Amino acid sequence: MRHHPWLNILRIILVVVLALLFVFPFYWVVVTSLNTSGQALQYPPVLLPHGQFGNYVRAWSGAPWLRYFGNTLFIATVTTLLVLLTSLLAGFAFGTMRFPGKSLLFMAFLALMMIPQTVLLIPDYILLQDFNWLNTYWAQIVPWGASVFGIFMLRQFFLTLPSDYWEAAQLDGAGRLYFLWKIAVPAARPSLITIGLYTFLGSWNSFLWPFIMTNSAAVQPVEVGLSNFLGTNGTDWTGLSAAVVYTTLPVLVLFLIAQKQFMKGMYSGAGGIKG
Amino acid sequence: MTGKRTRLEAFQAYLYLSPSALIFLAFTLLPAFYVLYIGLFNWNFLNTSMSKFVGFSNYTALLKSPELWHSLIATFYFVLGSVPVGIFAALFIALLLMRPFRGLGLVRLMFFAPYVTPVVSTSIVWLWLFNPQFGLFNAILHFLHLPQIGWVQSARWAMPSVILYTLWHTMGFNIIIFMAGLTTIPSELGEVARIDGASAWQEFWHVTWPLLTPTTLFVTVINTIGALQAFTQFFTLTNGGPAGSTTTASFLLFQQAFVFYHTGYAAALAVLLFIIIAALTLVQMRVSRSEAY
Amino acid sequence: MKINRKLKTLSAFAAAALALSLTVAGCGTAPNPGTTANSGGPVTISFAETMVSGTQKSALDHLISQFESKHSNIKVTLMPEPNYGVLQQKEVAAVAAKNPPTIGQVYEDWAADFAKSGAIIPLDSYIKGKDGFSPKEIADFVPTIWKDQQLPDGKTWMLPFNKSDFVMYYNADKMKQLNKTAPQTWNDFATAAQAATSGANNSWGLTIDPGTPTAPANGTYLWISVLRSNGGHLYANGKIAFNSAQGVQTMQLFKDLYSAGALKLGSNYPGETALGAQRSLFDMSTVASYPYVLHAVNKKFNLKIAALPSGSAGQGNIMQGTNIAIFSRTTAAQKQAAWQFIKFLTEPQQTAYWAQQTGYLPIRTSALPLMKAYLDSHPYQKIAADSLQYAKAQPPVPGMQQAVGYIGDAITRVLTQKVPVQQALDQAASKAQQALASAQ
Repeated sequence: MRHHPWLNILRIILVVVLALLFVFPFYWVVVTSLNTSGQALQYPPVLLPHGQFGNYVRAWSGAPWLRYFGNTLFIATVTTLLVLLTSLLAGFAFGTMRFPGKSLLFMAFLALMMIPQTVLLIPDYILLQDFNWLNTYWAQIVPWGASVFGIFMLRQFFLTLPSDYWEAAQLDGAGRLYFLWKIAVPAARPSLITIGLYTFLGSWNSFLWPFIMTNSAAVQPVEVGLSNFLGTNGTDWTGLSAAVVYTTLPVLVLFLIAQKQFMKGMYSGAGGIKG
Repeated sequence: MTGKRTRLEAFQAYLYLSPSALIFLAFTLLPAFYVLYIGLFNWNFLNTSMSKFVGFSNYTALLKSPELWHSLIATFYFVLGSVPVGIFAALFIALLLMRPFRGLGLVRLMFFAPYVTPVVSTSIVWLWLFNPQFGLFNAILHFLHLPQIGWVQSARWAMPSVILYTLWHTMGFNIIIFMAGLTTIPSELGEVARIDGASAWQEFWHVTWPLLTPTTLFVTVINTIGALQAFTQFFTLTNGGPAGSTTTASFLLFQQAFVFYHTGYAAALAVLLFIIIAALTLVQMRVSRSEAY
Repeated sequence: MKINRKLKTLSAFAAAALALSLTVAGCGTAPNPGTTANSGGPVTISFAETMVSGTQKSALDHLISQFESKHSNIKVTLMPEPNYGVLQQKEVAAVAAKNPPTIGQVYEDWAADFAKSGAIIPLDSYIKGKDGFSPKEIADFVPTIWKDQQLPDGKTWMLPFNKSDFVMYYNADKMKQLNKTAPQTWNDFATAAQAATSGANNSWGLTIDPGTPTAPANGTYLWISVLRSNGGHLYANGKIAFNSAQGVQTMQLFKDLYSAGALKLGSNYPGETALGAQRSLFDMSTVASYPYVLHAVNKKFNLKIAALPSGSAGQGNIMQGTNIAIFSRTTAAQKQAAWQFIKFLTEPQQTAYWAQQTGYLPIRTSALPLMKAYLDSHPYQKIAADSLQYAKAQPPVPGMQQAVGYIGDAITRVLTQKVPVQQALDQAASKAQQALASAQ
């Protein structure tokens, strides 16, 4: 009975309508950002944009956005590189090397995932304060510089690597790091891209941590800047909508460019569930 | 010779592990103990040396205070309102998407897009949609001659509003995970069932659903942990209000620690929250394991 | 303390190892200029503040350059913060890190908190000193403002900076259509607000944001103003007192307006938006929000401003805006220079300039004649300045901000959850009292 063509058409219509509902908020913020505040406050609502690009100019001049974007880009990039480095080294050790306490250590690493960020906020705040790291890039990068997810994924990858790979390299007299860099890294590229994308996205989208740990625009990321902007320009809905558009756009563009890797990452992440 | 070699290998392995281990040690493991310690003090935020050891009185004060119980009720309201609905809706949409059609890729992207967007940005969009006087939602209700509601301004509707936003934001993740789970189910099983004359519903209930258990478990655990820790949408949409109706345990922790500077008290709350999250996760794993085998 | 030190040492060790193993470009800490000055040469003082945009920023820059040209050995550096919430966090964090700015904007209850931990210094010795204020000068301060600089211990801990109070904005065209004049009493106000309410026109009287304990908002401050005009108090004899008969009277007014559809709730300065969109007749905001109201109205109608209506006991208002305090962990030379700077800001010439540039209120009586032309063209400033004599700030008690936040909860509960007025106020008062107790 599932093969009835009209049922199939009904299914597709339903799916498309639902999908349109999901992207509607994006449409609506673009419409609001391109209308006058009079149009935005009108009833019945104005459903089409009217090219009020002045909202963008006003919002852009209302806060040091360039600085915020620069900070976010820097923090997200360095965090990603750091995570890739630490995950590669640890994943390599767990996946290919023999040493006492290996499985115990690995279990300990996995167990760390159980400790939620919210719980760590207070002690980490006090520690960062003692290191004089509050309100720096350090505070936003280093605590996020290692990832259990990344280590786990790369360990899985190295476990699947046939051992003759490594033996061949040894015959060549290659050292471990040389092997890691020259042979393992290129082979692990898909995993690295997935880890990198998710780390970058997570860092870009993070809010609570930088909101608590920083307080000056000199080091704050875009999301915190936007939250401050909401606090000071809460009445200016058209300007606020413009700010939402240009703070969301980079992430959406990155997502569209790298959608295949994103989806693959999700699938492989889900694949890890089995067993 | 070999002994030396294994020792060298072990040394190198520890060296490779050390960057990650040091980060986890400094910012996860030791702080987890440190929070236990802070919870035993009337912690003076401005002047740590003026902190007073108070034993377990932060915990007794916490357990006695109605705000804790209100926040736990709000937390479970949020978890129960967002997780099961989110999972079943996502599974439903994932099933709809399982048979390919032209434009499937685009539709999948449309569902997934909210998940990658930053929460502050998109909750501002929803704050505008929810606006009781000028928002689109009330305009639609007005157009349909339905009574308008206060959305995030009303103690009654604020939590459903935040749940609605959260469902929108996380649905894409759940859909993709379910789609991944569904592709691993061998199609022959379904065909056998169909030859046996099973209806689509019977096939789903007796074949797909049981085989999907690991995926459902994974999604449930991830969603529950996420919901228990959710903060940013509450901060942007409701600030814990109106009248405390959306002050969840995580929001209460932020409020006590970083708005009121009741650091010791908030640390005690953090420990309690950790216990709740850990317990719920273990229970969910245990339950599903007994179901699976 | 032993475990504490061990954990900290371990963590510090781990972090130090990390810091050594990673050399990430540009990850330094910006040094705080406030602590680097030495006693001999020029003195640098740092000022943590939120005057970051528009005329507020340019006016402050101008005043600083004027001050520096008079005192060539003193340099003032600004530490700008986007808003008061962040400013407070920043100041608290800087004090805790033993690296405070020299001076900073403070609300009264922050000052009480800081004073309690010895983070700021009392100013009495400076006031009485040779570079201080004469009795005549002290008498020249608006009395309510001068009193606002003292904490309950009787010492003066701050000097005033950017002060404002509440005024009533209204749509004069609409008021005329309704055949009404600007309300003089809260009863008149209620009548006008209800007259403006119409389902068919989708219009009403006033929109307020009651706020939450995390972030108290204008609706709560309006409520306090009405409470005071009815003869009630927020805090009296060392206790929370807003659940009095006057409190009930005040809440009843809000409740009646809400039930009649004349009062609505919103967030993010909803009053300005609704007034600007020609939906509501009134907006109650501080005089400092005039530019924002003006932007929202956008010349669509004739905007007028009047003093808040009066209640059964006369006028009531709440003083908003901050003062400046000197932090204790600074050098003696910095403190002396800081004193000269904050005193300079309060002098008639400067406060008159500041008021004309920013819309904040002049804090000295003798500043008014200096700005006569300005007051003639900006009559609302005069209205707000006159209201200052009735305006009192939030009582300067640690935890007061949190305590006041529970009023917002009470407003929401009475209006939207049908909780009886007295019960909601009593519950809020007991939470507020607890907040004060736990902040002590």
